[in-house]
Amino acid sequence: MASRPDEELILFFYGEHEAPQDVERDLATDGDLSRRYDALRRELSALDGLDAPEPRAGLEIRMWARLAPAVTRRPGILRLPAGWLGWAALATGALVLALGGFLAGRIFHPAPTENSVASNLQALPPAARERVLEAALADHLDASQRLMLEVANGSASIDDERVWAETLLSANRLYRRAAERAGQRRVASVLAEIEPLLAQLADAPGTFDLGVARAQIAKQDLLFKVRVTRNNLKELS
Amino acid sequence: MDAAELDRVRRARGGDAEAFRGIVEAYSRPLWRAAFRILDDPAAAEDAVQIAFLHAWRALDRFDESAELSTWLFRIAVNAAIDQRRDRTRRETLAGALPEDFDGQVAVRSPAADPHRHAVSRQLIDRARDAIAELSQAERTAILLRHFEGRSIVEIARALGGDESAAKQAVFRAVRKLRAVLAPLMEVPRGESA
Repeated sequence: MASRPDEELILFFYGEHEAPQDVERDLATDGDLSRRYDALRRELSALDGLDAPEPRAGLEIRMWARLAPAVTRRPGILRLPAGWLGWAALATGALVLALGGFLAGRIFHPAPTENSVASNLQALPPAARERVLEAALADHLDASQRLMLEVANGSASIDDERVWAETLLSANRLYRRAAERAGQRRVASVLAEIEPLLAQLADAPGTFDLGVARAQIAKQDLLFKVRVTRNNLKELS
Repeated sequence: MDAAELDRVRRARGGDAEAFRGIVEAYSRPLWRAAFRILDDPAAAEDAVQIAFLHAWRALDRFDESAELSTWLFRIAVNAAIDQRRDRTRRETLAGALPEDFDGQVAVRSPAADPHRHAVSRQLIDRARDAIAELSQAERTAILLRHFEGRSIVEIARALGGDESAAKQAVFRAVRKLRAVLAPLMEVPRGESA
């Protein structure tokens, strides 16, 4: 019989041939066909070297942490920032917030408890857990700094910032308590100082004058304090 | 797509972040593996998956409910990974730090055994990755779904939004192009040929 074209061999290789028994029979009796099929099989098998390993533990948690701020901001409010700085800012705070699923919880559902956050973290190996927490704190400070910058520069409206402040407030409380427990007084102190500002923004009515928040940031030198604390964590992220 | 997943998609489309979170949790791993195959870098694969999910979140309104969510997401993730790869290559080129692409070429010519075999194998994998990145979008989706995800021609046709014949042709073209790249690098053991 006429030799089968490569297309048929490809379908046979992938188990998609309509009459595999016929191909098997031909392969057993047709040396040239058999050689062609061996070459095909060998070459396609080389692709198996591209098989991927398992991702690092906690991928789902990390992924949601990165996505949560963008996903849970109200439609119309989300402005995806451009450039690498923008992406960094987008990732900022995300890790922290989604660690506990705060964002979604605060906006759409009852907030998850600290216990549920803890159990998510407990699923990670100790070293990874520590790294995640350290990086998350650094991200939280970045996110807080960015929020304050937007307010200080007058580029924000309270409608834009309220949801963000609310989620940062939840994370901030967690980190402040964690820092207090760990005896990191400086970090705890800075987090305690920004908490009232975040609370004020989170609860602000639509008529809120952002000038009040601007004055508070300037009076307490909050941006500077957060920046210094963040810089001290620089090597962590 | 099963009823639970369809419900999740519909809720996510309506702005339900928790529903979208379910999708993220269900698909992070398969999408990461798909991105890793193209990028060969765990962190870059995570970035690509993040970008893919953000695209998906914004494009949910355009998702056709008769399609498979998994293949739709897969396609977005693969495209995000390809974009990342191109960006990386551009950056490396600009930095004058393009890796020695033909490191393995010496090894191919070398008569020595194991270390070179490893180098050859490494080169094959690198070439395969490059070749996949060079395929057209349809060809790439088709071969990745068929070869790595074990998806049927019918599923690939659905993912590509065409008929089975077009899906088969996409697989054939992809295989032909990949073989053209890989075959010259593969040593046929002497004595095996008839």
